Amino acid sequence: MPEVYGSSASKRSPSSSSRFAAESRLLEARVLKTHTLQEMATTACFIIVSRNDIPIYEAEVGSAAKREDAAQLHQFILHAALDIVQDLAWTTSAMFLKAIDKFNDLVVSVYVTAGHTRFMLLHNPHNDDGIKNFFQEVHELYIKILLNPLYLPGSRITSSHFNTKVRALARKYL
Amino acid sequence: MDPATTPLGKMLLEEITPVVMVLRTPLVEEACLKNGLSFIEMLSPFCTFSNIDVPVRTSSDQPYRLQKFKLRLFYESDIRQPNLEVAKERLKQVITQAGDKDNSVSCSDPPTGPESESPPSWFEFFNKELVHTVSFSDHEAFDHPVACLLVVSSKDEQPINRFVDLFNTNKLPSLLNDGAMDPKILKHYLLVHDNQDCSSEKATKILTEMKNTFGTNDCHMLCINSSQDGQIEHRESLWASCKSVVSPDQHLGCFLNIDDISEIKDLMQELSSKHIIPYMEQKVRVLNQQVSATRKGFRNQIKNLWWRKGKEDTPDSPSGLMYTFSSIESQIRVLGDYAFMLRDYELALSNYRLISTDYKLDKAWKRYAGVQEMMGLTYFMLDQSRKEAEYCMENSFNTYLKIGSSGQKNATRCGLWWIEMLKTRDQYKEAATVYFRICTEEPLHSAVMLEQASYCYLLSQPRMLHKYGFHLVLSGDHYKKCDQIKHAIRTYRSAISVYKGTTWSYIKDHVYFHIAQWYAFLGMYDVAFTHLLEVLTCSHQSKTTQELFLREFLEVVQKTGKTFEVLKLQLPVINISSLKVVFEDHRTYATPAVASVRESLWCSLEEDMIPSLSTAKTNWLELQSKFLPKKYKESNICVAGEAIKVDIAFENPLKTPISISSVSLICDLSGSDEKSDSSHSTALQNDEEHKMLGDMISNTSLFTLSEVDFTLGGDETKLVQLTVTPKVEGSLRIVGIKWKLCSVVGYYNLESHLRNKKTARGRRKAKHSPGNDLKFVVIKSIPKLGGFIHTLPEKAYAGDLRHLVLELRNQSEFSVKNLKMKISRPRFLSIGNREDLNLEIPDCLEKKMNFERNDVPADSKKVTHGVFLFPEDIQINQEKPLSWPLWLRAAVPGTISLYIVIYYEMGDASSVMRYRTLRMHYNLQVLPSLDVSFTISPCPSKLQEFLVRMDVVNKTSLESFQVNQLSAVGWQWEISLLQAVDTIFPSQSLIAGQALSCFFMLKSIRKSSRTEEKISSLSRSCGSDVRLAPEGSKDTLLDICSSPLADFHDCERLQHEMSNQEDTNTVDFILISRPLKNDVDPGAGTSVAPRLFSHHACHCSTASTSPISWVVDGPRTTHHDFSVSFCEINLRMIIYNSSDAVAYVGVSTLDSPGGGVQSSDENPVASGNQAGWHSLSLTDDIKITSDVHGSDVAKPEPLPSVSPFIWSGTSSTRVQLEPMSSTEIPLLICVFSPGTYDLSNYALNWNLLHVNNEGNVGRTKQTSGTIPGYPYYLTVLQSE
Repeated sequence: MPEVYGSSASKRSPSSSSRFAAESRLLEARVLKTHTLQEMATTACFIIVSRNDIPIYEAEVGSAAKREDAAQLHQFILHAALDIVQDLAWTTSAMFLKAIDKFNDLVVSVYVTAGHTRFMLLHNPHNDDGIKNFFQEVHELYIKILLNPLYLPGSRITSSHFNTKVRALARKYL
Repeated sequence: MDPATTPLGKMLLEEITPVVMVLRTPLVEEACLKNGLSFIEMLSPFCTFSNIDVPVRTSSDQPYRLQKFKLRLFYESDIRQPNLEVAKERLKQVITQAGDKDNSVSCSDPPTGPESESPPSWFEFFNKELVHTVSFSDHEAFDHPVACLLVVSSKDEQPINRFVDLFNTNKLPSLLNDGAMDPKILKHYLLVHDNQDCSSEKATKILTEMKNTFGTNDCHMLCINSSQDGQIEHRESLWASCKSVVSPDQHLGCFLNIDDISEIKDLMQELSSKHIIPYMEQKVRVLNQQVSATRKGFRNQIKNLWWRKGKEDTPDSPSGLMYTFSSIESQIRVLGDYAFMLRDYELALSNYRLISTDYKLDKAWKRYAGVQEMMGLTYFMLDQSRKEAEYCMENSFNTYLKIGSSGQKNATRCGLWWIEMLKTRDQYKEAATVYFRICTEEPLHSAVMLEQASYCYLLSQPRMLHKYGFHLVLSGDHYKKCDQIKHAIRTYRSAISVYKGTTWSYIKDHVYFHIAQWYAFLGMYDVAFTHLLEVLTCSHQSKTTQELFLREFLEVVQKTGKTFEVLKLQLPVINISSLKVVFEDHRTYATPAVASVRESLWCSLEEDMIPSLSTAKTNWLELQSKFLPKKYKESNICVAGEAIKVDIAFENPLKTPISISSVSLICDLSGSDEKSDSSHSTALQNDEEHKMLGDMISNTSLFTLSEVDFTLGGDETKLVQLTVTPKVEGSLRIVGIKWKLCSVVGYYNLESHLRNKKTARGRRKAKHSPGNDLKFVVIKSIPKLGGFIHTLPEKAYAGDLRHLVLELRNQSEFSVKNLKMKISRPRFLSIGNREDLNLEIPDCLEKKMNFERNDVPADSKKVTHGVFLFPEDIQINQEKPLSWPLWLRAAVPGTISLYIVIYYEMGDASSVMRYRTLRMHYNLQVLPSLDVSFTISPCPSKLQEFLVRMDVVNKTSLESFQVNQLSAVGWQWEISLLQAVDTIFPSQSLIAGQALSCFFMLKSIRKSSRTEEKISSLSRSCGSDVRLAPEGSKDTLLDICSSPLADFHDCERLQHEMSNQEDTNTVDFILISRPLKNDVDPGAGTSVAPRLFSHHACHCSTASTSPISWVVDGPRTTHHDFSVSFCEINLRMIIYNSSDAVAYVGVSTLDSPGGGVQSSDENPVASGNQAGWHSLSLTDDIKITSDVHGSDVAKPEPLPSVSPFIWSGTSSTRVQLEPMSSTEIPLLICVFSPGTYDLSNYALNWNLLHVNNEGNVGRTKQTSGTIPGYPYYLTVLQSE
C-alpha cells in the first residue's frame, strides 16, 4: 500500500546530492534521452493561492502522464515555496518573481499580484519568457474573475471558462 | 564571539586533537574490566584538560600558552578506516534506540504546535557518530597517532619483552605499515599494576628494569584497583559519556579509590604536557624549517611549479599512494594539522594554502578537498573572512562529491561542519539547504538529515513553517522506508502541527493517511482511527484513492473490534440547509407532500374558517398554561402518537458507494411534570456534548424512532425521512442524528448546527426562533382526520366534468364535529350535496320531464365566503368514514393546484386543542380540448334577433369529440338552428385538430319589465337548448340548470366578469360535448365511465356599439306614374332601446347624398363590430361572408349627383324610448323620378337618460351617440 501511494517525495532527493557522480551523470543522460523520446514530457502544476494561503485554483497543466502521487508532491513543493515567496515578495516591485525555489528537477515560479494573490507554477526548468507571459495573461483572467460581483475574493474559482482559458494558455506558453 | 566557544569550535577542539595509539596486553585489559571499564575507558575521562596551561612555541619565537587540551586514545586495532557495514549498523542502532526511547509517539494527544518543537537531543550524537565513520583516513593527518602508549601488566611474564613484542607485531595499523605516516613515533611505556593481585614490589622492580631498557622519561607505572571491597562511589558523570549502557548492579570504577584516580590524572597530565605537546612542538618546528627551506621563497616556488608541470602526465589516482610520509606534501599537511592541533591557526592556514595549490595541480582531489575543509575550519577558528570559510567549505564539499562514492562520507562530514559553521552565524536557511544536499543514497541518513533540515527552517528568522512541514514529511517518508516507523510517526506528528486545518487537500490527505497507516501498523488503532477520520471526505481524490482510504478506515475499525462513537464523522455529509421538520399541531396534512406547500397559502385559506386568531390563541393558551411551563409557550405543539417527520439530505462526497445503517434521530423527551430538564438544556458544551448524545439513546421508552438503512452511491445525495413518535405528554427535543457507518456511530448535533446557520432555516418556521425549532410540546392524543378524494384524475381535458367522492376518516375513538371545508379553486372543484353521492354523470344532469326542481339544496348549502359548512349533524367516528360528493370541472388548461382545507372540532371538549384543520393538496393537469368562441351580430332584417356564429376547434392531439348540445343560458334567450345538424357535423364528431363554424339564430324574448328581469337573473332557471347530436343517438338534452353545471357556470361568469357585466345584452352559452371513443360504439355511449365536457362562454355581447337598434321597414319596389305626380312613399322605422335606461332618439334626415364623410365614420364602427372575432387563421373566408354589417357600409355605392328624392315630413323627429321597448316612427320620402335609391342619408342621435345612477358610477359606457343610417334600397318604377 504505502509503496504504491505517496512515497515518491523521497525517491528523487538522493540524486541531487550525487549530481556530480559519474554514475548519476550517466543516469541523467539516460533520463534525458527517455525524456526526448516522450516528446519532452513536462510536469507543470499551476496553483493560485489566496492571500490567506488557501489554494483557490488548481490545475495540472503538464503533458506528462499523471501519476497518482504527483498531486500531493506538487502541493507539498508549492506549499513549501510559500515561505520563499513571503521573503521575496517584499524585496521587489516586480510581480513576476521568476524561479524562486526548486526541488530536485522541478522549479517553482511565482507571480504575486497587487492583492498578494500568488500564482505558483511548478515546472521543469525552461524558458522564462513563456512563463512570464503565461502569468500575465492569467492575471488578466483573474482580474476578470475579480470583477464578477458574485465572486467573493479569496474563495475558490470554479468558473469553467477560467479553467479552459488557463489550460489553453498553458498549452500556448508552457 | 570566540569561535572556540561555539558548538563547532567545541566540536573541533574535541575532534581534531592528537591521537594516542594504545597497545596493551590482555592482562591489562583484564585488570581494568574488574571495574566494568576497558583500559581506554578508564583513562578517557582524564584525557580532557580544561586548564593544562602549557607554554607552546611553534614557528614564531613568541611562546603562547595552551589552556584546553585533549588526547584521543585508541587501541591499535581501531586505528583504521572503520568498516562501512559496521558503521552503518551502528548508526542504525543509534536511531532505533532513539526511536524506542522517544515516547511521544505513544501519546495520542495532538502536538501543540511548531513553537514548542525542539530538535531531539540525539541528533548531536548521531552527527558525531557520522563524523567518526570517516576517521583515520590517509589523506589527512590529524587522525594519525602522535604517540604510542605501550601498556603491560605487572602480571605479564617478561614484561620487557612484552613491550617490544607489542610494537613489533604485525597488528600495527596499516597507516604505519603502508607508509602513509611516519612509523617512528613517540613511544611511552606504561606498567599497570593491579593492587589486588599482590604488592607493588614486583611492579617497582619491573619499572626499574623498564627504565633501564627504554629510558627513564618514557616509563611509568600505574597502580589500580587499590580499593579492596569495591564499594567506591564515583560521580556519575565521570564515565557516563563513554559508556552508554550501564547495568545498574555494577558501579563503574568501583575498585578505583581516590589515589588511583589521582594517579591516572597525573599520568595523563604528564603524558600530555611533558611528552606529547613538546614532541609536537618539536616536530612543528622541524617541519616548518624544512618547508621553509624547500618551498618558501621565490626560487623554490618556480622550481616547484616547473617540477609539478613535469608530472602532469601521471595518472589521475585520487586514492593512490602518491604521497608517502616522507614526501614534502605529506609533511606540509602534517605540519598544518599539528599546528592546528596546537592552535597555531596562522601557521596551519599558511601551510594548508601552500599544499592546496599543489594538490590541485596534481589533481589529487580527495587530498585537495581535505585541505580545503581544513582551511575552512581554520578560517572559522580564526574568526575572520567568513566568506572565505564558507567558500572553502563549499569547495571542499563539492570536490568530495566529485570524486564519487568514496568521497560521500567525507562530504557528509564536511557538510556537517559547514552546517555548524552556518548555524553559528544564524544562517539557518542556508544550513537547511546543506542538510538537504548531504542526503545520501542511504535513506536512513537522509531521513535524519532532512529532519535536521526541517528544524533549521523552524529556527530560521523568520520561521519557515511551510518548509519545516515539507522537510518533516520528506524525512518521515525516508524513515518509513527504513522501517523506522516510530520516527516516521514522530516527524509526521510534528508536520501535522503545521498542516493542521490546511486547505491544501492533497497535503492533508497524505499526512493524515500515512500517519494513520503507521499507527495502525503499530497496533494503535484508536489513534489511527482519529487520524483517518480526517481523510474520509476526500472528494478531490481519485476513485481508487478514495476506495483505499475507505478500505483502510474500515479495516482499522474492524481491527479494533469496538464500536466507535464519533462526534464529527464526516461521512456522509449532512446538508443542514435541507433540514425540514414536518409536524402536525392543529394543522394536519393528508399526505406528506402537502406539508411542502407554503404556509401563507394555507393561512389565507383558513382565515375564514378557524375561530378568530386572538380568541383562539388565548383560549388554548389558557388551557396550555395549566399543563405546560411558561417557557414552552413558544415551542411547537405536537400530539402524542403522531409522528414528527424530519427530512434531511445525506450526501456522499466520495465516488464509491457507502452503506449507512441505523439512521435515526436522537431525541430527548421529558415528562411534563418533571422539572429536571434544565440541566439538559445548558449542558450542550463541547466536552459534554458527546457523552450527552450517547446517553440519549437509552430512554427510548418514551418515544419510538424510525431507523433507516440505505446505500449512497458515488456522489449521490439522498433525502431521508426520519420520524420520531412521542408516546407520552411532555416536552420533546430533537437533539441530533446518529447513524452507523460500519461499526462507527456518527453523531450530528442539529441544535448547534442550526444555531450556526440561522439564515439557512426553512421558511416554514421562520416565525419561530431557530432554537425552538426542534423543541416540541407533546400534548395528549386527539383525533385526527385523514382525507382522500377518490378517483381524482391527474390529467383531464379542459371542460371535463366529473363526479368525485371525498372520504374523511377518523382513526381515533373520539368523534369530530362542526366540519367546514374550503376549496381554493371553486372554478375547478365544487362541493356537491349529500344526495349527489351516488349520482352518475350524465344521468343526473338529464332534463327531467316533469320539471321537478331539486334546486332547493342550492340554498341549503351554507356557502359563505367560499366556506362550506357541513350539516350540523355530521360527526365522524372511528367506524364510519364520511363520504361527500364533489364535482370537478377542468375549467382552463394548465397545471392547477387544488388546495382543500377541512376544519373540524374535537367532539371531546376537554382536549387541549379545540380544533384542527386537515389540509389536502392535489395537482391537476388540464389539457386543452375544445376551444369555443361565439360571435354575435344583430340580424339586419329583424329586431331582437341575432345571428350567432360558433367556432369550435378541437385542440387535442388524439381525442375526438361529439358535440351534443348548445344552450343559451337564461330564460330571455331562445336559440335555434339555422342549418340542419347533419350539415353542420357531417361526421357527427370533431376529430383532433378540426375546426368548425356553425350558425345559430338567437332571439331575445325579453320583456321590458324590470322586476321580472331581476327575478329571472336570480333564478337563472332555464335556458334554451339546441340539440346538436345526431338524431339517432339516445342522448337526451341535459339540464344546464342542474346543480353542478349551474354552479360551475356561475363561477365562469364570475371569472369572466367584465366592465359592462350588468349589460343585459349579453348572453352565456354552454356547449356540452362528449369524447368520442373510436373503439367504443359512439351511438351507444357505453364507455366505461361516461364523460361529459361542458364549455362555457360567458358575456357574449349581442349589442353593437349603441343600445339603440332600428329597422327601416317599407316597400322595396313600387310602381308609380311619375307623369302624374311625384311619388310619396311611406316607410316605418322601428327603433328598439335595448338598454335599461330611457333613451331619447332623434332621427334627422339629410338631403344631401351620403358621401365620404359618413363612410369614413363607419370604419371604427365596422372594426368595433369585429371586436368579438377570434383570430382563427382558418376562418378568413368565413369572415367575409358573415360580416353582415361592416363590409356593406364600407363600400358605399356611387350615387347620382343630384338627389332624386327628398325626405318629406319632419326633418328631425325625437322620440322617447322606455327601456327594453320599441317604438315606430313613420317616415315619408318623395321621389321624383324612377330609379333605385339608397335611403341611407339620415342619422340617429340617441341619448341615454339614467334614472338610477347607483350602478353606473365609474362606467365608461357611452351615454349618447350618432349613428348614420344604413343602406335601404328602394326601387321605384314607372308604372304604365
